[in-house]
Parts: sequence; structure tokens; C-alpha cells
Amino acid sequence: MKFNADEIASVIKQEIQQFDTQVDVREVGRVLEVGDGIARVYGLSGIMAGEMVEFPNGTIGLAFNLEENSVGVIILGDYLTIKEGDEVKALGTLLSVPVGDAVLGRVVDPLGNPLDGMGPIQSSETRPVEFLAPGVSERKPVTEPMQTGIKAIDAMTPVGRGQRELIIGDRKTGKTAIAIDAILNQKNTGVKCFYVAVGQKDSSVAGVVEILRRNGAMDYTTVIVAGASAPAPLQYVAPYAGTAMAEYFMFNSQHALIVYDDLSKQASAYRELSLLMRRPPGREAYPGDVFYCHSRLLERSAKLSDELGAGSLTSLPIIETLEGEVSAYIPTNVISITDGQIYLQPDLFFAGIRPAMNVGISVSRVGGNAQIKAMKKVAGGLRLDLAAFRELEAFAQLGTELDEATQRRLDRGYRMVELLKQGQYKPLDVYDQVLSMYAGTRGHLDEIPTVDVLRWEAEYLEFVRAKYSQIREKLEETKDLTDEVRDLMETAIAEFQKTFVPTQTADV
Amino acid sequence: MAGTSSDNQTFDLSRQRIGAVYAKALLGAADEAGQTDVVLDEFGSLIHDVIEQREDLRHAIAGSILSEEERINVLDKAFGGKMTPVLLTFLKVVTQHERQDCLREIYDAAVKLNNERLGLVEVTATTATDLPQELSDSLTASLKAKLGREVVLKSKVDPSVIGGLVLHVGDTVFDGSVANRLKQLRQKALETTAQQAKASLERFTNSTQS
Repeated sequence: MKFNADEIASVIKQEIQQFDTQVDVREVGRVLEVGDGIARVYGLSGIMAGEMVEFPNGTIGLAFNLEENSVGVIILGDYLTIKEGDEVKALGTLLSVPVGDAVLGRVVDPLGNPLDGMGPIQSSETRPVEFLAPGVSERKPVTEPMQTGIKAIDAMTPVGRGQRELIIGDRKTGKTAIAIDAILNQKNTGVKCFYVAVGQKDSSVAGVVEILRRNGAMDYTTVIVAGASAPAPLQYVAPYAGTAMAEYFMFNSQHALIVYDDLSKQASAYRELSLLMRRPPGREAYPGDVFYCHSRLLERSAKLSDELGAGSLTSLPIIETLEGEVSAYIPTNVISITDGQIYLQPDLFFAGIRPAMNVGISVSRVGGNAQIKAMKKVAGGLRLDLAAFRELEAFAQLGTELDEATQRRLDRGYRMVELLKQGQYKPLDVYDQVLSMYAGTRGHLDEIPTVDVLRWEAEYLEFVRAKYSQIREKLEETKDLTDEVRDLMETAIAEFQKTFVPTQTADV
Repeated sequence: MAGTSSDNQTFDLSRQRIGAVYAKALLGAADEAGQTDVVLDEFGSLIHDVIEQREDLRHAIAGSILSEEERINVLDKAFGGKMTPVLLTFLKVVTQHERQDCLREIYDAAVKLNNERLGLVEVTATTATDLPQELSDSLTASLKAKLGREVVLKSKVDPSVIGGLVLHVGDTVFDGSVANRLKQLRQKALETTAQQAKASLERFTNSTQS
């Protein structure tokens, strides 16, 4: 393509002819010192807390600390070319990011600048990054399910639209995998997804983006990246920026899901900033308001009332623990803020139970309200049964003689644990989940060898899809486990059992 | 008439804080002696004409080569009789407390404090060339009318503004410079061209090629 220079010149000429400026009035200050992502500025006497400032190199900063005769500014971007004595201009506005449909499918930094090389984000609307959470009268209880597509979670710790469910665990226990599966499962549900990567390796973020793209999830997902090499101020604002983009959909009667991966790194970034700003350190050297830092963020996830359009924002914050230490400062804070947690354990993970969810201490405080009726009927009590099974299992390892009833409970438990295993990036439809949970909890798997449980499940679902599609249709229609559906399922299972061939184990 | 503050090159918050304290004391002492304007004038000339010009004197007064007694002797010999006693005594006190390095900050704070007391506003006018007297007078008059306060005009020459005038009133900048207008024009032209290009790309491509 060749450009026509004359046309461009004519536009510029027209612009010059019409150019008319007023005297530019601005409030300025001078940089006293700069370093590590923060600057101390003299002047700017009329600035507001949280107001944006601009440095001569075009970098944006935020007024963070207002002191007697200087202003502490956090620099959102390149701070290496800022010098002492540089003029700092107050912009008179709060930090805001572009929002709307234009950001979907994009990889952006916390200021909304594209990082994916797909051109500028053409959005006319922006939202402030810091925004007050909806109040009591603007909300309504969480009742709609937000299916994650993971059997263990949807059956035992269901997540509702508007809920905050924490994913907590040591490193390498599959925390991100759960969040990614949840995003993948939102395909065709109209739920917009936001993945905020804070302090992650850029290679892992690239991996996540690639997985989302390959599974067709990028169409409805935005990835907000402040990687490990980004300065601490950017890592600190990233979750708020992501929430601002997600809120747009909530306030427009749509549904959104946001994943913060992870908030422990954001807390570290905030600690770094606060210490550089000489705010007094508290427990674990975190500043006193680190709780507020997380509570005001997570409080913005909500289910709005009908008057406000009944939109919702569900959040899945992730916290990484060290050696399973949930009683550290940040984990206890976030556990107390959220509506439940999914606790992942390394020993379960290495025992091959994936997702490695510890059912005993994982909870969802919204509970059964966020499940469809059929799932509630099929999986109610499963969590407690499994927790009891864990205890029994530990007891059985002592080698005592077991009576028949105990042995049966153990067998059931082994099979349920097996049934709850699920491959990565293979989210399961909720109706399929009901089908397999029904078979498991009603004891239809008790006679199947443990190794065959997952194969049984896969083949059974295939069988139902081929020969008993009416079960699914009925389920989708009523979302309830009616007698009719139950009878159909019983016959389907009975018929399928006849055709299932267990694996021949070589008993030598 | 009250002077203008010196051109700030560097900022040191702790030194500024010290300067403010000493400045208050100096003004208090000068007021009692009824010599405020004289003291400030002399102080200004000490800073601008002596300390800034003469390297050796700066070392003698503000450096730490000489001992405290020697320095006080130097002050006596150099300024005794030529300076208002209030200022000389003040300089000795500053020397005794080893705050000679803060003299510039003390002076700036004193001028600012005095201006504040008199209800004066210090305005810095930056122009590309020297401001002629009649222009600066009319500027002072119009600023006085606009701001409703007495104005102390301080002019500064900076060729990079190209033309026009930049006024600094406290932390607020009124920028009517040609440099700034050019910058705005460039920004505007870029935006409009991008917008037009977005609207219809064909217009900008050669019809033969597209």
C-alpha cells in the first residue's frame, strides 16, 4: 500500500488553519529524588491523593504520599530516564483504563496499552482504576452458578456468579490450572473473562495466552500483564486495572469472571512501594493497610441488584503459600475476605489426585445456592462423606480388621476420589458432571476396579450421548433430578454396565 | 522593595526546613531593629554578589576548612562596619551552629516569608529574549489586576521557549509559549490524521495502488 502524501498534508494544513489554543495552565513540581519506581516531588501543592502526574518523558505517575513539603509519586512505567529537577505536571484526573468490547481478546499492560502487537485499543470509554465497591442496597444474594467445569469444585465447593472464591496452595499444586479451566469453561456462556498476571514469569504468561488462544477462549478473555520484570507500581495497580475493565461488564448487566494470579505477589509489590515511601512496616514488614489493599479490591466483585441490571463479577484470587502455611499474614487476610477457599495440597498432587483439592478444609460459603438442583441432589453430602473417608482411610492404614460396612465405605471413597480426578484443560459440562456424579454417589461404581473408574466414566458419557440423549435434554430443561430423569439414568447405567469390559489385570 | 528568591538549582528538604526556622528568627530580629528591608537587601547581595561569585569566600564562609573562631574573625574583618549589625550577628550565630551551608535556603525562606507577610506574590516570567522594562512594567500591572495582589516579577531568559511568555505563579504554570503551542499543534495534527485515517484509509492511499 502506498500513501498519498498530499492528502495527509491537506489534513495537517487544515488542522493548522483551525488551530487555536488557550494559554496552557498546569500545576507543576520538580523531581527531588527518583529511584526504584518511586519519585519524590517538590511542589504540586494542590494535588489530590491518587491523582495522575506526567513526567517529561511521558511516563505516568500516581500521587501516593502527600507530605508536608513533598509528594511521593509511584511511577507507572520507565523510571530510568527521569532525572532530578525534571518538571512534573499534574494532570488533574484519576488513573483510568480503556474498557468495553475492544479490550476483549487482547493482552494489555495495567494502563491499558496493548502488549500483543495487534494495534491500538480503540475504545471510547474508560473507567477509573480505583472505584468504590457497590454498597449493600446495590447487591443481591448470589444464586446463579458459575460453572468451573471441574467436577470436584462444582460438586463440593460450588462458585456462584458474584462470589469471591480463593484458590490457595503451595507452588506447583495446580492453582493456575484451576483458574484456566474455569476460564475455558465460560465458552458460550457469555461470561467475559479477565486474567490478571501479577509478578509472573513472562514465559508462563505467554504459555497461558497460548493455551487460551488454542482453546478458543481468547475471544472473550483479556489478559492484563504486569510481569516479574515490571516495576512494583505496575504490579500493584494491575489487579485494580483488571477489575475496572471487568466491572464495565458487570455494570452493563453482563457477567464477568476475573482471576488474580497472584495476590501474594501484589502484596509484595505493595510492601516494596510502602517501604520505599517510608511508611512504617507492620507484621512480616507489610504496611498496616495491606488488608485494605485486598479487601477494597475483592469487595468490587459483586452480584448487582435487579435495578442495576443484575450483572455480576466473580473473582478467583490466587494466593501462594509457603510450605502449606495458611496462617501467614496475607493468606489469613485473603481467606477472611473471600467467600470460601479451594485448598490445594502438594501431597495429594503428587499422589496423582488432580485437582489436588483438600476437601476437608475447602469450603464455599455461598454453598448449594450456587448449584443447579440436580447437582445439589446428586452431590449433596459428598464433601462431608469424602472428608470422613479421609479419616477412615488413615485409620484403615493401621492394619486393623475391618467390618464389612467400613470396607464398603472405603471402597466407595476410593472410587469417588478416582471419579473426581480430571485432566487439565478438560472442563466438563455440568450435565455430564451430574451424570457421572449420580453413578458414583449411588454406588454404581462400587464393583468397577479403581483403575477403570475414569475409563468407565468417559465411555458412559459417550454411551449416554449416543443412546440416551433425552436424559441430557430433560436435565437442561428442568435442571432438576426428577423421578423421570432418575429412572432413565438407572436404566442407562444398567444397560451400560452389561457392555463395560473391565481391564484385565495380570494377576501372576 | 522586597527581593526575589534565588534560582533554585537543587532541593534539599531537611535544609529547607532548617532554613525556614532560621529565616523566621532573622526576620524577627530585623523587625525589632526596624531594618527588615535593609537586612534582606544586604543578605541578597551577600548571596548573589559574594558567595555565588567568589569561590574563596564561599569556602571561607560556608566551607569547613577554618575553625569556628577563625570564621567568626573572618566575618568580623570582612563585613564589620559595612553590614547592619543585625545581619552580622545573625551570620555569626549561623556560623556557631555550623549551618553556613544552609545560607541560601535561609535567604530563600526569609524572602518567601517576608513576601507572604506583605501579601506579595512572586511571579517568574520566562521569555526567549530579555524583557524590556516597559513590557515588564505593564506585565506587572496587569498581573496585579488579575491576581488582586502585589506582584514581584522575576524574569528569566530561556531561548527554548522560542517566543511568547511562561508565567510561574507558585506551583501553577501559565504557558503561552510558542514552544508549547507547537507541541500542542503537533499533538492535535497527529490525532486528527490518525482519526481521519481510521475513518477512511482509501483517502490517503494512491488510487492507482489501492
